[in-house]
Amino acid sequence: MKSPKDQGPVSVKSEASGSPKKGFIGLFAGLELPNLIQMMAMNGFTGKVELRCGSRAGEIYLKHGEIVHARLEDTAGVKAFEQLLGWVEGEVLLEAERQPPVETIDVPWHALLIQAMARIEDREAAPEKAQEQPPGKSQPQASELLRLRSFHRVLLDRPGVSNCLIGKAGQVLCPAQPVPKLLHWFRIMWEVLESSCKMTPPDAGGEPLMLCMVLEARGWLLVRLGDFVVAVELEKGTDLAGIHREIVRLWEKG
Amino acid sequence: MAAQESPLAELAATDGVRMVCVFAPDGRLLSSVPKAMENTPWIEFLQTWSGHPCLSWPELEEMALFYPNSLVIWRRIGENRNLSDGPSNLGEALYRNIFLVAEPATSLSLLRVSLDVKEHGWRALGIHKVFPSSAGKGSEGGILSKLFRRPTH
Repeated sequence: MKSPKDQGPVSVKSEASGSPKKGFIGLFAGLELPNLIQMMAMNGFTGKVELRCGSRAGEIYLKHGEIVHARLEDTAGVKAFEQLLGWVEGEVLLEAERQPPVETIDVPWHALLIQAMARIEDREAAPEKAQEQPPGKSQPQASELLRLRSFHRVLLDRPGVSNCLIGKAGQVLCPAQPVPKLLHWFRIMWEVLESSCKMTPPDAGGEPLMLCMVLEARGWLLVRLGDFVVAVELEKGTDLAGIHREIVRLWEKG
Repeated sequence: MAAQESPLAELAATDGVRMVCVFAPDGRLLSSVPKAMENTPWIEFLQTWSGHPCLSWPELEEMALFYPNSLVIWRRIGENRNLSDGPSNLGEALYRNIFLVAEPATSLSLLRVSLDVKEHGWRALGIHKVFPSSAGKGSEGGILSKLFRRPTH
């Protein structure tokens, strides 16, 4: 594998102006492209990352470490970024200080990378499943998924939370590949939650604010947030009301 | 039976608890405290839950619903199987559905501990003996209830 640094700085001709510009060029076969992007983001890089693979070309722009634009042929934004990150070989050209022609991404770089990596893992884990997806089936938007993944990660970091599932319409969205047992439990939780919303007791004051369940001796807290359901597995002794408030606050904070 | 003599009396006397009741797997009310609550729509609501297919999932052991004005706890107590341990109990399910209705601010942990303690004692005696299915109205669970028992998921 050759890293960009192996080849050192070179001068390449700008196609538009014909004037020389400074940058690094290299081949990235075997190089983990997400690692390269992460390294640049962490170092506050500003400029363009140009990627080429055969006849295909794409570019990613960073501004003070944040990924602000990506383009792959006719696609731009998060979708283009995710597709580019899935490339496993090609050429990379770094052009520092180059400003983006337009900004199409407004998501923190770490959330963007997590999301993109999760999607790549999804595709690798179940390519057939992805192809079998019925056309027209309602899927969350990339930005929505991104937010969920980030939210999922934040919740998992909370003290007292040992597991977290986020889903919609009975389907688990986060994590991308839940173990079958968790998937099965989520369906049970979803059914109970749906039923509890349909059956409101007298003088209860409305639908349940939250639900707790014990499934095979493991305690879960469920909260409905719009169309989504968040289920967190709690360690014994965790303050239920406190976690509930925290989940709602974090969600509203966005 | 006076409320004080009911096996549910102690639980019903716990701070914040408004009502405790036990249902047979087929939805029959077996015991409740206080009796006055039997004339309220709560019984119908809990009875509906008791027979709800969701509660048949063997993995689901307990549930707490936090409504704005109430806290409802359900737990399956006893053995989660329909087979009996002797010919005299043939076909009688050995578990019961217990519900507690409490004030919304009542501590769930406290109620769970109280329930744990009581359940421990009832298990030692035999849940189906503490809350016999003949205590309620309707038919006994006999051989037919064994043959036509509710499906498990």
